[in-house]
Amino acid sequence: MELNAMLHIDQLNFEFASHPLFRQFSLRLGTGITWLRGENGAGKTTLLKLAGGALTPHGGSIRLDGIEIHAQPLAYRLRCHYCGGDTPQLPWLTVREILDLHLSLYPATDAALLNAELRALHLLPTLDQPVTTLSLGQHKKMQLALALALPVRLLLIDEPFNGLDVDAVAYLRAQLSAPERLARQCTVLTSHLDPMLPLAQTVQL
Amino acid sequence: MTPTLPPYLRFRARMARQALLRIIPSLSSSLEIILVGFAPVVIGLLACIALPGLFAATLAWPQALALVLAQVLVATAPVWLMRKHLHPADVTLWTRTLPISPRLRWSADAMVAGIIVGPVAVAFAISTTIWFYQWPDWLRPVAPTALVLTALSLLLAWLLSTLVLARRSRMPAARKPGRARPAPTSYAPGAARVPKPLYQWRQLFWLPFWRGDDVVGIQQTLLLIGAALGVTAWMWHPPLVPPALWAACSALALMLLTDRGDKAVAEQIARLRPVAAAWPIDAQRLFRAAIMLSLLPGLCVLAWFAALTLGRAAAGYSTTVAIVWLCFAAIAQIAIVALRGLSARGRTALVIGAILILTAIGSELWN
Repeated sequence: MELNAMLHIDQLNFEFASHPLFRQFSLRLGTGITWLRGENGAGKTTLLKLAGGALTPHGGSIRLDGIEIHAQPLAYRLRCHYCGGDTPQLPWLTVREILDLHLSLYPATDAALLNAELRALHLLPTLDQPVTTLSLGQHKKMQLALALALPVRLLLIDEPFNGLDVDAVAYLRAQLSAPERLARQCTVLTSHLDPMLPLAQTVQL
Repeated sequence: MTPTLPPYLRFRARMARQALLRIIPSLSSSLEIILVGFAPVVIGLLACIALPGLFAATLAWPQALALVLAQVLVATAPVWLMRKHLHPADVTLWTRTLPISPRLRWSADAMVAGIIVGPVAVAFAISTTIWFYQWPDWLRPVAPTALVLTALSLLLAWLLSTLVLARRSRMPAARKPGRARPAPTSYAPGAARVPKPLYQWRQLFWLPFWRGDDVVGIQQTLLLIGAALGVTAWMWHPPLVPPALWAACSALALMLLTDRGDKAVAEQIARLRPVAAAWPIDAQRLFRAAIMLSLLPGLCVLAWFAALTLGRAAAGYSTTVAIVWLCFAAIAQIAIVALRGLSARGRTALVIGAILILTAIGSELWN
């Protein structure tokens, strides 16, 4: 694992005003799926956000493919994507506008692949709907369709199965465990239930 | 045993109190500056607030009706402006499912309207007392009618305020939405038609101000039109109104245009910052561009003023004053967006100070 590590987290420090969360925390992750486990409040989502660049650590370093998150923030973020949150972050946009915006952020994205993901998750009819009119499950599907289509090396998915119907869960499992994806991408996901995926690593927080 | 309010009425009263508590700090930070800068105007407005209703008693009924209705609208304005705080969208959505009788809902709306219209009624009472103490000749023969009209306008304002709140909280009628076009069957990206920075600015700093409950787009449009019309009237200088008044209106609309626009952009940046932190873009650059673009409406007004003054031969006005006014207005615009570390009080002082100085300079334009 050490030789093939893609994500290096070293001596990470992070604390909230009320309590410290990570002290001198280190982690190495390679390609394949990593299941991040822990009780509520253990810091699973915070760790994903730290690794995704959405939160700034108080100390330590995070490197993806040798790119340090603070030294080359744009190059780092172009290689990773955080998929999470149950409420729309840009509530004034439609589904199509959110997808378009992300395609402008990640220009190497294959639009045909995104179209296929949207079709498989039955989201095409919702394209022109305001994102606030989506159900919890549809919102999660939109996030996942985007996450599966983005050409990133590190994919961070927070509670991927929350709110999904049975077909969507089966489809997501098939996509995440596709050999081609396992070989090229490091996927980190949080889940309170066994994700029933071919895991490369399990991390208990 | 003292009678207690039903829980729903207590809840609505607490919500109204919270709405007032949210607004009072923003007012109190600028209140002393407003009092120092505009004390005579504030006292004058307070004294005159009941005048239209009292004076209506001396007029024929069509004019009297128009004046009373205008007074009703003025007294209803606070509730209309605060309706989203008194009935927050998420709370409204949640309370619709609760077993609350229509009578209790109406009682709550009437009570909350009373909480807000009450202080307005006190201001009207003070103004009425001042006029009765002054006892002008025109008031003496119509005093009882004038009092009745004032009381009636306040009652109507309370009723209208109650209706405003009830309308905000009502359950929308079930309507089958008409489909304008068939549901999409495939996705193709549509972002490449415009340059990427412009596209991202539009999605993140233009659309949010025009959609949902956001009124910033409409507010800025009205201020822009107001400032442009103010400048036009100032340069047209119709005989009945002193040009200095148009100068004051133009300065007020111009400074509010930039101040409100910059404030809206600052709030949007605060909203986007945690989201954009994970995006592979230079968010600071985008935010700086959005801040710079918030100057554009004010610059359009300045360009319009320059076209009307410097773009033609001077006819009775001072070109030097016009240039000084333009330069100071431009500096004030830049100061508003550049001095982002100012406290709320410092910012209010900057805006009000700029309005006063621009008015003073502008009053010399036609001298």
